[in-house]
Amino acid sequence: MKDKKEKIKYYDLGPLIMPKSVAIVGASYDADKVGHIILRNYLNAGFSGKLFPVNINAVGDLLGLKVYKTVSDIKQKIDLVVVATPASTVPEIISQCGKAGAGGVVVISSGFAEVGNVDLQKQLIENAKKYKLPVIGPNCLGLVDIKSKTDTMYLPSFKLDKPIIGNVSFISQSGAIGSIVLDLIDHEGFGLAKFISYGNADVVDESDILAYLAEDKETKLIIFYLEGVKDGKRFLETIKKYGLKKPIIIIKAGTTAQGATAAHSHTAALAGNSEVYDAIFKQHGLVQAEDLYDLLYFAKIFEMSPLCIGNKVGIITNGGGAGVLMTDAICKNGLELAQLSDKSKDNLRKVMPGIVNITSPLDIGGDADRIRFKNAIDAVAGDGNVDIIVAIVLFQTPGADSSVVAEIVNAKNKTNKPFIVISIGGNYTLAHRSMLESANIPVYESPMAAARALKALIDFSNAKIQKK
Amino acid sequence: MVLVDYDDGKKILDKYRIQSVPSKYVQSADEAVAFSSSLKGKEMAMKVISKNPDALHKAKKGLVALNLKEKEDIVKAWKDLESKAKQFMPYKIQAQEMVRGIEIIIGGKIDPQFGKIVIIGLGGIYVEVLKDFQIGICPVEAKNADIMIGMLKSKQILLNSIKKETLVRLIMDVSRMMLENDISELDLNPMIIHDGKIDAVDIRIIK
Repeated sequence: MKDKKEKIKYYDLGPLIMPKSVAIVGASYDADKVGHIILRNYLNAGFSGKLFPVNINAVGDLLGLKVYKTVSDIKQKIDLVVVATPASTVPEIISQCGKAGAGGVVVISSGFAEVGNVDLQKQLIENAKKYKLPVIGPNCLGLVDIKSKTDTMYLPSFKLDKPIIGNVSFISQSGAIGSIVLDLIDHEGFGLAKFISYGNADVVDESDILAYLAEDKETKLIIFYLEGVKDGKRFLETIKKYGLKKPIIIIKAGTTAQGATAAHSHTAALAGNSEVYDAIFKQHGLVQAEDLYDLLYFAKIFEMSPLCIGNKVGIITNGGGAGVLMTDAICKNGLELAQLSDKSKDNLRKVMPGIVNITSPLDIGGDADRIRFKNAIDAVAGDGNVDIIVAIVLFQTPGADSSVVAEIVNAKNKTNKPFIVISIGGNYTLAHRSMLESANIPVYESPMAAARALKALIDFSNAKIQKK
Repeated sequence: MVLVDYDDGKKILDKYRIQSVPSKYVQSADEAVAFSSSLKGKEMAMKVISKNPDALHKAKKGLVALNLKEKEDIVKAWKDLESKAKQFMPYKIQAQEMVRGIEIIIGGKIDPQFGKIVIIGLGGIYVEVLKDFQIGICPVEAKNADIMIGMLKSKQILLNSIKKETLVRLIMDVSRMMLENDISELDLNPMIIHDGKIDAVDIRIIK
């Protein structure tokens, strides 16, 4: 058996993800063409670096910028080259980028192995390897880095809600899933650091990107849509190294169809490919989401809450039914309802009206106002039996308004325990939900989704502590 | 797909210190009786081994005889097995020491993306119905074998009867065996935990 392990080498993606100069190859004069849209998006976003439109048929300025015929004509430092030309032209452009010493390339163009053009793909890979050039794609949306205002997506910007700057980075093998999740991030109240859609992964693969983001100072956690890895062994070594460094929330598509190859043994029948993925994710601390919403719900709690190994949940509610649903949800996910200490109960009896039964979950009544919320949350949050605070605020009730939001924000800032809010309702509720999320409090509409997110947080925290 | 003969499989296991119960192919009732007396009072099992796919579920087809100790019982069982086995030609009859304990399954296969893997789980319904098993990618290191055991829901049942280190070593040995041999699928199902050790009772290796 080999004792010495070969150290995995990763591409340096720094220059291309946070570029100071960008060339766009295929920058068309036609406003509907992909290359044109990308260039215009860069200009609209206020990218402060240098922009070099490249068009083989250059006939004068484009959107006020000098147009170059080829990458070789630029003769300045280029951190990132975005390629949006027909597939047949791409391998040659890759070589030009290599010769020009570009930091890296994003190939938006499709028409390679995904449609059977294997030779073209081979040429692309060969040319990239020759110059050790990191190439993302082909057949992808490319990347977004909010801080450097780089954005290679060709989607019309009015059709997509742009995330604000934040600490969550997002990797997507699929461009379409990528754009859906990006569109929804802002609605979940958190921000984005970097987005990388990597398509066919011919040169730069998922392991390069994971390793880069795991070391990236602006990335606190990673969300990842995966269909299948390019290189299993490399991926395994990568998550062994980085799986618990930062939370990696992963959704693996295609978990049901496979594993149907003829099995001659019990083992083969049991351990299909999706079971293997599941096992390595679990063993190396990756957090698995079952659907796209969970990907976002989990990201939100990891982004806004401290890690937490305790599983006792203190619930405060201004609606009895919602309190019971939340209790069911946490119990179904292996969490427990916290029982308040006698001291907390005594304190609560002094400040709560007689109609409030001092028990768990703590139902403070449909007429609860700012003061009652404050007293209840202070008691529950300060109780040593409580690891996690869940405040259910039903804004349909007379006493729940923005003054309750203010009390919750105050209470949240006083505690170092995870603190989430459940609010279910229409536009009035949604308005208050954004206020809460602006103050870094994760808000959920569904008790079950909230409980799954809490479980994910606790599982990761435990795995991380056990590793130490 | 080639199924390796039990005795050849056992030789491979021996190289990796993976233990299996004493067993022998017997040609006659007399040989079976002789093997039984070598077991020093322990009970013996006999089973029909055939590559015929219909003979795969031995117990259902009555191709197994258990709890044998007395000479007359062995002779009777031999005749019974021989008559039932005729429809599964060619066949062999194997005599084996009977051990009782906790059954586990250890196996291996080749995953298209991650290469050779090892699985471990508690036998019977735990694996089949509850899907309580863990997978490790070869080479499985000690730390990973430890995590695999820790993640079994039934780990306490295992750890009540065997030291964790013994299981960790077994997983690592199987992982090495998978890597160093031309094996595409492996079932050690069951291996039985008894008297502080783990013995393979059935060895199914597919090249």
